[in-house]
Amino acid sequence: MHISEMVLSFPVIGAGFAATIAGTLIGLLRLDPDKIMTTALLGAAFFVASLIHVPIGGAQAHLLLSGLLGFVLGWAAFPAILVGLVLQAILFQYGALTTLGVNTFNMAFPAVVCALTFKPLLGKTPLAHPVRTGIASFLAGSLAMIGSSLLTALSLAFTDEGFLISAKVLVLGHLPISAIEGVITIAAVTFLAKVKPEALFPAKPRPAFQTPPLSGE
Amino acid sequence: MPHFILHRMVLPSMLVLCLILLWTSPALAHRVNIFAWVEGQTIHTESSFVNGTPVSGGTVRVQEAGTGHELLSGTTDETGMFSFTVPQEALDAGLDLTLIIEAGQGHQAQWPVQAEEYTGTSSLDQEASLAESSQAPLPEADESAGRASAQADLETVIDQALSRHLAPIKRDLAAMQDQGPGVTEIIGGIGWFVGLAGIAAYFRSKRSS
Repeated sequence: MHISEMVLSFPVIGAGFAATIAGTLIGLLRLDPDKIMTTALLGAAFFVASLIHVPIGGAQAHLLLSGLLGFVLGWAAFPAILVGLVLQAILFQYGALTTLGVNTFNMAFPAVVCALTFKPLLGKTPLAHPVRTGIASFLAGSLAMIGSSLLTALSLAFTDEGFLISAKVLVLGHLPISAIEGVITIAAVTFLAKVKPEALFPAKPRPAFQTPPLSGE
Repeated sequence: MPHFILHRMVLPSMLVLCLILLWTSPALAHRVNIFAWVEGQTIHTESSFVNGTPVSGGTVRVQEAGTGHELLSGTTDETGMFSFTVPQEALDAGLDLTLIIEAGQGHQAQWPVQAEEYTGTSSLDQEASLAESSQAPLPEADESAGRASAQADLETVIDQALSRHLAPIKRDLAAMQDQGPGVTEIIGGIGWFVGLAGIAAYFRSKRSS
């Protein structure tokens, strides 16, 4: 899912950066100060998890944990994933700095969308409804990954490969691992709900715009 | 009993996670590499993902370095190999080549091949031999030409033998460059996250105080 250098055309790269900058700004502006450390730790988890590659058929897929990041961090998943991808590009040459915008958006946006869609299903007491919690977590984890595959295919739509072939290879290749990712998300969310519920739900509703925006620096 | 259900869910999923971790080596990666070596006027290429899985059915494009003018292209076999004879066009003009592997799903990498690697003679040598032949006095022309051609033959043979013997070494060197993520980098990366969080927390605390 890490698109390499020189594959994409300039408009796609530009659009990717624009979308990523927007998402990252939203994430940073809405970042709860108490969640800075959580964001960093989950970013680190993403950084490590997407290094672990599972060979599936001829292709290779890796865990993302993006669904979990979306659930816990919301829009802050954008900065977390961005930092993870910067480090991967610099340290391991996975992806590239030029495709950073596209890759970040491809992985972070589905995570945020899935979180916004499925997190309300948790309700106030996720532990009281384990099945509902499980289904919501599974869908968030696996659909975030499928969404990322589709967005990657869309980014490749303007290359020789085209959208349909890329989408078929990417989505089919990621089906098994997205199921695994769903199961891991269930485990992580139920675990968090049990031992650290404030990670999933802010302890008190945060008054909007209490903290001045970052641009004041 | 929600607690019971929770335990029943957490344990199997942790088991699944452990199995995945056992199945995969940490060197697996999502990057593609191409490596090429020259044997006479044939260029062999080998493409693989970082964990060593060969790229089968990937497209190799041979382009003129700089301009991107495509000379030829081909498909890798199931061992990730693709070999081709240097096209006459490149031989004549002494073009530096860029070999690009397209492994699909947005994976791409390239490898440069300098003109000297396949012409066998660097431009310096050609100038030297030209100068030599023009300086040669007429009566000794035949003998000198014979010696020159014998020397050229010898050089060709040595070049071929050398390139044959050096190819595996070059290959190993390329493989060494492309090692997967090490423990050092991974731990360093995690350290970056903690450090960034520290910086963010510092600025937050300064603002609120």
